[in-house]
This record gives sequence, C-alpha cells and structure tokens, in this order.
Amino acid sequence: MKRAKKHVALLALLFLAFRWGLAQTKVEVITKTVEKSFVYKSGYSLQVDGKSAVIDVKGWDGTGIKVVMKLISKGLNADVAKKELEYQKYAMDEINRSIVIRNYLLLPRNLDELSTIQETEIQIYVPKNVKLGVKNAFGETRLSEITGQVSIENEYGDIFISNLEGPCRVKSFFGDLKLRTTSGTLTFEISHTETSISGFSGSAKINTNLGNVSIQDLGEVSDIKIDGQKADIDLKVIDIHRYFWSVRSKYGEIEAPADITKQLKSIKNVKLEYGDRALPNIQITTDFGRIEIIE
Amino acid sequence: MHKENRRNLDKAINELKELKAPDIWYEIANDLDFAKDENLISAIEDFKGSEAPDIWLPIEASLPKPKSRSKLNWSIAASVSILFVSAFLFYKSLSDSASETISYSTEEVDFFETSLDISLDEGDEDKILDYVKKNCRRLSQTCQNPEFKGLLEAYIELADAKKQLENELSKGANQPQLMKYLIRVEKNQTQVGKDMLKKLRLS
Repeated sequence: MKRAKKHVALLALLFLAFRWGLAQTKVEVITKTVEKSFVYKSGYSLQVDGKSAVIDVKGWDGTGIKVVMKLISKGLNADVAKKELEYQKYAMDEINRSIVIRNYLLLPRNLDELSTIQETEIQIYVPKNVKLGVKNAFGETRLSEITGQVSIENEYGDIFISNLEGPCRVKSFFGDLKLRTTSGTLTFEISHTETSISGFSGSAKINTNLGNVSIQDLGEVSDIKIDGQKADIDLKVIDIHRYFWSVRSKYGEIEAPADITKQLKSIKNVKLEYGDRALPNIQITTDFGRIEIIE
Repeated sequence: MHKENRRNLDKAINELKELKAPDIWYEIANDLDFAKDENLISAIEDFKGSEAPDIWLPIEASLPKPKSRSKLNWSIAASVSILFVSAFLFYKSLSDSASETISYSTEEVDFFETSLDISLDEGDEDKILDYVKKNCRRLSQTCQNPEFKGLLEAYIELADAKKQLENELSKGANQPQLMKYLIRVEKNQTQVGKDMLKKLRLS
C-alpha cells in the first residue's frame, strides 16, 4: 500500500513540467494539396479512414462531396522534405456504393526512419442526410453541421462533434470526446476517454470503462443510460423532477439532491430510485466511479 | 390377221376421201359474243354500284403506326447520343482525377538542443510507447525536449506502478481501496499519454 502511495505522489511531481534550452529554428514545409469532388447519390455512404490525420468533416448546402487533402512534410532540408512527402499516399475512390477516402504512409523497404515530420489534414464537405463513417488513429476527428447517420472509431486521438442531427455511434479509446448541440440517438463505447456533452436532445447509451463523463444543458431527453465502471459521472440538470432517476455506485461516492439520496447514511452499493417511471429515465451505474447530480 | 387381209385394209384406208370438218367454232364464238346482247350491255352501263361501308378507317387507326425513319430524326438522335457520351466522359474524367498542387513555405518551430537519447524497451506492447518510439526517430527535436522526456518517464513510471498494484490486487487484501489507487494511477497514466501524443502532433 505504501508503495502505491509513493507512486501516486511521484506522479504528482512528474507532472511538473520544465523547459530549458528552447530555441527556434526554421524548417522547410512542403505541402501537397489534393482536391476531388464526388456526386453523392442516395443510399451511398462516405467512409473516411485516416492514419495520424486531422479529419474535419463539415455539412454544407451543396449536393455533392468535396474533399481537400493536405499532405505536409516538414524538414530542415527542402529536398529531403519533398522526397519524403512522396511516402505519403492517399486514395479517393467510389467502391460498391461507398465513397472511400484514406491516407497512409508507405515507406520503402530500405528506409527505416524518416528525417522529416509528416502530417495529413483531410477537409471534407458533405451534403445533408449523409451516411458517414470515420476511422482514425493517432489523429483528431472533427465533425460539424452534419445531418445524417454518423459512426466514428477513434484511437489515441480526440473527437469534436458540434451541431449534429441524427443517430451517432462512437467508439473511442485513449482520447477526449466533446459534443456540442447534438440531437438524436447517441451510442458510445468508450475507454480511457474524457467525455463532455452539452446541449443534447434525444436518447443516449454510454458505456465507459475509464474516463469521466460530464453532461449539461439537457434539452428534450427521452432516456439516458450510463454505465461508468471506473468513470466519474457528472450530470447537471435544471429540474430533477422532470426525470425518473435510477442511480447506483458500488464503491464510489454519490452526490445528489436529497430527493434522490433520501438522506441515507451510506449510499454505497444502494440502488437509489426517484421520480415517476413514466418520465424520461436517467440511469447511472458505476463500480468505482463517483456520481454527482447537480440541479 | 392374215397378211393378205392387212394389205387390203391399208389399201382401203388410203383410198378413203378427205372430208372438210363443219365450222362449228365460228358458231360457238357467235353465241358467246356479248356485244350482240344489247340487254346485257345496257345493264352494265346502268350499273352505278354503291360505296363500301367505311370499315377500314377504324382498323387503320387501331394498327401501330409505322415508325418514322426520316433522316432528320436519325441525325438528332445521333447528336444527342454524342452529347450524352461526351458529357459522361467529361464528367467521369473530372470525377476520376483529383487535382494536385504543391506549395512551399518556411515555418519556425521550437527546437530543443539536447543530445540525451531516449531508450525504450524493445517489444513493448503498449501502443503509446510504440507510437512514441516510432515518431521519436523522426521527431528527435520533440523527443529530446526535456518536458517531453519528463512525460515519458512519468508514463513509464506509472505503467510500472500499475503493474505492481495489479499484482497486489491479485493477492487479495483491501480490494476496493487498492482498486481506487489503481484507477488513479491509470487515469494519470492516460492523461500523461495523451499529453505526449499532443506534443508529438503539435511539433
């Protein structure tokens, strides 16, 4: 136990970052910009498969899909940067009723390491009612002004979603997830991910292993179900009486208005229920996480 | 027949007189001459006939009309086809090809001058460490950054702490409390890992 405490204390020290020897240097930046437009047909889907890419998908009034991909190489020597930029590959194709956009790095066999920084930015404009699937690893995914069915799988990168209308399925591992002004059915399978939701209407089912969930500014909600396991859950509502509550934490703390906690001495591993079952259900369970409900 | 009798018969036939046939065909032709039948001629002349009922018009209307095969229609169809094919090929050429442009610029970035090497254990299954290892070959400036090194050391230290806590947990005692320590360590390790990734991306 002492050893564990020692480690926790040590990590606090290690958080204190330090900087020295800072200098600025000039690097040559070579950018290849690729643009392509597609006609979007009803029933088609858009699949984006990114590798270490910043993917930004925006809804627009156009009827087609427009892709602007920037492949960037940064190095001290312009010739080397240009040469190594060639190892960045991309594909923009229409395959089996799907428009597929992807990027990847393809190194020659005799090359073990690059001496330049390689980056990829993918900007996509999509029409309304698009069926969109995005996969990304070690990169950031941003979605805004989207109306349609959305599915996102992100590993080791953050997800930002704003002004989304429609069902949204997210799988996230080791990243942060931020949602602003969304409506529809949310289905999240997340781990090691900090989730922040505000301005949400609809229903949500969130399974999170490790990583906190914070929800505020709820609109018209049908049901919300959160299974937190090791996650802390914060929920801010205007009026707790608008919902039926079912709250339980096996080993964690619960902080909630008295109507919900019923002023019990110990509420650990106790299933707290409050309200009319006919109202929208909010169900929160955790094993070790802390639950906080603020009115 | 006796030879003598045969000779007599042939002689008698040869001596018969040739008679002219009566002219019966002339008389038959006269009988058949309509022109001499005045009644028949006047009846034919008086015959006016009557118009046939108009049954062909509805029949004609019900029949499919033969397709027009005028040269003009054929040329219009050909022109339209060529236009469509051209438009399709033009559209396809547009949609199949992506436009590429290359630009050059210069940026100023932070550069940390330190020669300290970062060594990572080979065969580490941690994806974060694997990513850091691969990228630090490319981004030596970032990885030699003392701040980044501090994060990396913290990450490795927390990974060790996590393993020790998991060992302790497997032994049994005071599970919930140990579990809470483990969760804190895991959360901190996750945050340190995320900070490292952000630094690599922002470099």
